[in-house]
Amino acid sequence: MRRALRSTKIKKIVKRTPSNRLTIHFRKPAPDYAHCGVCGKKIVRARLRPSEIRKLPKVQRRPERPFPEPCPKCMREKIKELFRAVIKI
Amino acid sequence: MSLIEPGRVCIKTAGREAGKYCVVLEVVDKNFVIVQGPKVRKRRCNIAHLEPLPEKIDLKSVEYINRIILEKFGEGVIE
Repeated sequence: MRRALRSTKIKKIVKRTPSNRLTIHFRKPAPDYAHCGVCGKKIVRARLRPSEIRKLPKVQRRPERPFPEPCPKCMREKIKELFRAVIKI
Repeated sequence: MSLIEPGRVCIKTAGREAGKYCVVLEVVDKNFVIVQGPKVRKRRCNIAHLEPLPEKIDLKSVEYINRIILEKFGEGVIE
């Protein structure tokens, strides 16, 4: 096995070929977790390669709430800021 | 006396309807209320997910509530 393929991030799968020989197949490593742009916390999201994410339905790709990029906590803070601006008027 | 009572205008702060205006129709218990608005369907909602406003509205009918909110406030904070 090549040195670069020994990483624990790369999954190895033992397959039996039609000629009754055992071979190792390598799976591509999963990408890193998505992080909130404001507080830097991990976001629970599908941890798939971009090509696989494109195959999912739209609802499973991103949350349906108004600010999809930050985490839900930071989104609530953002909405409360807008809400305070309304209250002053 | 609590701010959350029937007729109170609120802003939802969580979920797909976050930033939208709604009115409290009835109080279920100390955690939950039933809300409705022009862009919020009639549903149960946690009080922690609401921000109350100083205004109150008469609960005449659904059309009346939606019309008054659209005239006075609009659909939501985020257009």
